[in-house]
Amino acid sequence: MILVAGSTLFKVYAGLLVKESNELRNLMEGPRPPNVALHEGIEVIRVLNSETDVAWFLQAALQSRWVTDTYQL
Amino acid sequence: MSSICDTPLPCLAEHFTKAASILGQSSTYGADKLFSHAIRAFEDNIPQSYDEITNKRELFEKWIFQGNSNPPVAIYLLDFFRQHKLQKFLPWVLYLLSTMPSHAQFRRQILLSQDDIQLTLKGKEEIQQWSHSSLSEIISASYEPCLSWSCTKDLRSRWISALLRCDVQLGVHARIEQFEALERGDTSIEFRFLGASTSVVGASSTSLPSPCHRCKEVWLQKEKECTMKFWDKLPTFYDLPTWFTLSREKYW
Repeated sequence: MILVAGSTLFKVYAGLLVKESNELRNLMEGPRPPNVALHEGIEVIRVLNSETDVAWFLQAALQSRWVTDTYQL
Repeated sequence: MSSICDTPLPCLAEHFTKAASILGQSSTYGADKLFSHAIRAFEDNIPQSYDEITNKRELFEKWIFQGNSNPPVAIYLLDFFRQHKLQKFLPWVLYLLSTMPSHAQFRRQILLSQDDIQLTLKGKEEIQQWSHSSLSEIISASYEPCLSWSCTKDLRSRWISALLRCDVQLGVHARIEQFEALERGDTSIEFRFLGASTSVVGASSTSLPSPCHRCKEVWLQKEKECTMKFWDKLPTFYDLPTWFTLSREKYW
């Protein structure tokens, strides 16, 4: 799937993302709306969060990059 | 965390900002595991028990009072934690708002809601009342029979007045730090004021006579008991449920 946040497109493998998110799983497994937007055959979903927010979320969800960090000075 | 940050504050700010962002999005998208991880980022930096008051305070406090954010992060966090039903973090945020440095209070009063101004002022008043009674309980305590020539009434009143100033101006955590210093054998009281962008904008130090070794042990024990009581009472200063109830809250 492609997530659009602001002017940035994030192309992600939906199978991995839906494992983390109930809402996205419901969205992907439910009936597709008739006028779904596609880019090169891939479904495009616009989200309201900022590019930075979505990048952080995807890093945490897909790369586990943030979640194991603990801050120390 | 990362070694790529040149200065601690931007890195620190990003750590918490990122945690808040992921927490908000994982709530929206029903990402339970990420939500729990994001909560842990706050749990790791907001005291969760009385013995964490001093060692978990500093990073979080630096972040929420960073000078250049408008409105200050602390005020945003109040709404954020309420919105995500994370009430267990509210007592500490409200406490920090109640005891924030006086030069920042004017800004707080402009930006907080009317209800929260009243709540933080009420909390401040209750903390000060608690502070007065507990300090006199601690410093009046003595080893029986204390035969030391040094533990005079004058010594005790000097300690009480210095520590009261510390509590009123800086908050209870500053007093706890003073007792930790006393435990290490340091009898000077330091007043360090954190200002905008976390630099120290004012500091003064008062040296006090040392009590005898045995009275000092009694003070330290009493202080520990009082800190536990303070922690237990903290949510009630802000009309919140007890820690036990707060810790059992469900987020979903």
